[in-house]
Amino acid sequence: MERERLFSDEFLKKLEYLYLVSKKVFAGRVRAERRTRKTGAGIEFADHRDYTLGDDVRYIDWNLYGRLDKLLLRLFEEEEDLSIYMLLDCSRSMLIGDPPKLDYAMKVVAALCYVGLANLDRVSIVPFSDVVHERLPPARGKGRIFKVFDFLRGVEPGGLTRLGASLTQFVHQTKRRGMVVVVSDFYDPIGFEEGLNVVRYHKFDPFVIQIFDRKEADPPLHGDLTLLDCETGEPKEVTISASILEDYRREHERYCKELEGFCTARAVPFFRTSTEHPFDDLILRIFRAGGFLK
Amino acid sequence: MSVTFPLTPQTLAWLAAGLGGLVVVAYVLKLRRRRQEIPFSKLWQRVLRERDSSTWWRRLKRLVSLALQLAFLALLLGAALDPQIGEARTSGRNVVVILDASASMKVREGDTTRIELAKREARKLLRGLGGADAALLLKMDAQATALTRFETDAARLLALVDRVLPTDTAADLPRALAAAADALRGRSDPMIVIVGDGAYRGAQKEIVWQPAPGRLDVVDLSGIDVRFVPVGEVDRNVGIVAFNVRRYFQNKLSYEMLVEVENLGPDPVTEKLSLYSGAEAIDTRTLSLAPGERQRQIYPDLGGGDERTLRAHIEPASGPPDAFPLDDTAWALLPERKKQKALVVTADNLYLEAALLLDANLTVDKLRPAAWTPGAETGYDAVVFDGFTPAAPPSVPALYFHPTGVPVATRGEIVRPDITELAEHPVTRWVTLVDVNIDKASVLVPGDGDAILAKSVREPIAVAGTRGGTKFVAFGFALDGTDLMLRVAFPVLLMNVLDWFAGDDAELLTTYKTGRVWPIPAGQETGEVTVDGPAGAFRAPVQDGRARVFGAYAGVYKVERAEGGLGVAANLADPLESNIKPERKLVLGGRAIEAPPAFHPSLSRSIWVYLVLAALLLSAVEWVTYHRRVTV
Repeated sequence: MERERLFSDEFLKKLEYLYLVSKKVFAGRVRAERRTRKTGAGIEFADHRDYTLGDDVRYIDWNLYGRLDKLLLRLFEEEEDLSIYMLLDCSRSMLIGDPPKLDYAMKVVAALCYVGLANLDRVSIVPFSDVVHERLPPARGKGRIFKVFDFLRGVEPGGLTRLGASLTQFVHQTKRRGMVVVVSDFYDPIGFEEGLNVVRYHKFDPFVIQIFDRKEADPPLHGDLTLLDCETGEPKEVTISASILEDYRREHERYCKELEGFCTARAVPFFRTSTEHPFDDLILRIFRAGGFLK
Repeated sequence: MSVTFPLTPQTLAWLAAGLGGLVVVAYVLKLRRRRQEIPFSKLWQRVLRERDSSTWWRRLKRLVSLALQLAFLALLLGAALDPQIGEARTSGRNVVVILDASASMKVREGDTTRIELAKREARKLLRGLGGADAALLLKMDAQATALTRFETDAARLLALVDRVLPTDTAADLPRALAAAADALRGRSDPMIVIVGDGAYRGAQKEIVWQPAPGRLDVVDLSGIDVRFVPVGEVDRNVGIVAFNVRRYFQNKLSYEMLVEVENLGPDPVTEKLSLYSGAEAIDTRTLSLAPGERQRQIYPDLGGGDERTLRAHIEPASGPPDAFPLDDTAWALLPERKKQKALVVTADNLYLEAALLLDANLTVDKLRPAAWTPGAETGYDAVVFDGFTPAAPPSVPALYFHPTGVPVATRGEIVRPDITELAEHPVTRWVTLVDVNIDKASVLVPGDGDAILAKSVREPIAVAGTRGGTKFVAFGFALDGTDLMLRVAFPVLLMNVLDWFAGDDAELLTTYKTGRVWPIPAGQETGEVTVDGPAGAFRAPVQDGRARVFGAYAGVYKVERAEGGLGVAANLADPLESNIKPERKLVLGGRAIEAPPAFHPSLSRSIWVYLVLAALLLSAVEWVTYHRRVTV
């Protein structure tokens, strides 16, 4: 029932509003056309390369041949619609929070999907935990947003957060390159680096959105407790004191900074938000920062 | 009420084992903690790994906490056993600590006072008391005041020691020893410890060391271990050892004053002696005194002014005042001077009239008996009836010779009576009537409250008293039937009577000494009177028309009376007490009194209180470390 109410008509109106805002902010840009880095049969010159046997002679730059006495082939950027893969973390840790981080992440994914669909991009949703779950096949056009909603409603949360394994599985299953929006809390005990690197190394464009609950950063705990990891069930006995809480808050902040630093160093767009902030604020922030809309 | 503790050491050992086991088991068993689901345990592991950098420290912390609990248990069980330190005694000793609080204990000893030194010694003794020992604290000045019953609580005794204040009176050691011996009678292992400066009056008398049954005039110290703790060092003092003033008997408008100053120190001194009447200095002179020298100064024919408060003060001609300021100042009060007017109702009595005319302060008028009418006494202070008795007593004090029914009844006559008893009374002061010849005398019937002045065998022949608030004196014989008028005592007797009527009392001509009960005329007061003294107001009982006031402090006192306050002065005036040189040795009844044995080793002390306190301290440490998360 909660999942049903997640994507109400009101939510849809908000998505439309966000789309209009995005158009206003980025007016003058070529509609729905994003260039890949792939060179091919486009019309916009990109580069030259040496001619080899078998190349189409129509693309030989005869002017250069006249000047340089060298056969060079003109390269053009190939224009194609962009593939956007929404990788949604649906591990058990995403169920924590009030509201649950997964609900918030679904709203973010739905909003970005709507914008992508409206831009005639090929949008796909890939839920993952320690493995990649059944995905939503690529779709285009605003009319497919309801399929997105239905798909998100059907996502079954559970499992461990294993970015390395699941994203490796994803890149191997996905031939068409494109933008990979990873929406997760990034609470992977093995580390987030491997997963994001795999995406980068396979020439996908990663886009990172970290979602956390305020109580994760500043837990209201006290006294003698047995802490249970929600994914592994691993217990840890601890007596909470003010100094321990302070240390924890510092450690959580450090972890988030590590993730942010990792992404920044690699020119990977990074956004972090708490579930207490409205999701549309995050979307607008993403729009303003660029990288998602071109 | 005695409390019996039911635990034997064996039971306690079992209890210790059981409770200790419980504590250990409680530490071995882990408490069930609240469970809290978290999204990412790795962060917590990092935090806790940094804090618990070493496992052995975590274990040690738990062991420390366990050790604290076991120590807490051990302390409580130890306290239950009531352990003792020091020499174990099967029965406690009974100690009376006589703390000298006499005037000489006010001597300054450097930065402190002699009484503080004595208190310090007394505290040392009391702190050495064991659990079975009992002590009684006795304050010694002119009186012996028990401040407690026999007490085993050292803390309470120490608190009482702190509250002891010295008075301005001389120490009465025999009285204190008698009180201590009485308190110790029948008690086991009795001991008296005297803490003071050792200068005590009558220490060589009245004390016996052998049982003296039936002798009430001695202090029986048989079987009692008496010890002495001397205190004090300072021995230099110059004091006023006597100060008195009196009006001249024949001219009460004038007075003379006597001052005695004594150098009680080992060096010659030069002192400035000043006399004051109220705030006005009336004389100042310088005295040079050799060691031990006493000088008497008499100031005759002083008079004038209305100020009645006289004060003498000495101070060194140069240098700071001596260590004992109490005897540097002395007070005296002159009795109020009065001029009287007397009416003599007589049929010519030359001897009587002549005797009355001797008093310069007295104006005499004569009236013949036939001319007497009620009310004729108006305007007079006293009436003398010589062989005449009015139908009703006059409204002013009256002296009767041979009265008939007024103011006292008579019952028969005695022929040639001899005066066999003469009471002490202001009227009979300085006179003796034993060999007076009397022809015959009426036997007087005194009323309630009347004082019998003279008796012939058992028959009253002279009575003094009051009727309707008016004084009278009645002699049962007539003047023409006695040779009293020919004696020197006659004018003195008349003066005494008139002085008593006027309220004059020769006792007030001298100042009082502190440390005694003063019989001060209370006037119309009965029961109790309020006395305003140097240490504040207090109530004093009235007996036989006199307030019985114990003077503990030097200074001026005022007895509140309906007819007006009566002032008296009090001084130490005691050369022995002014001699502040402390005695290192004390001899009582021919026996030298030794210092007490070392207080501490011979007495045992119960330490359960300290064990309980230690347990509480440990508990507090555990509480603090737990809440500071040190031991968790």
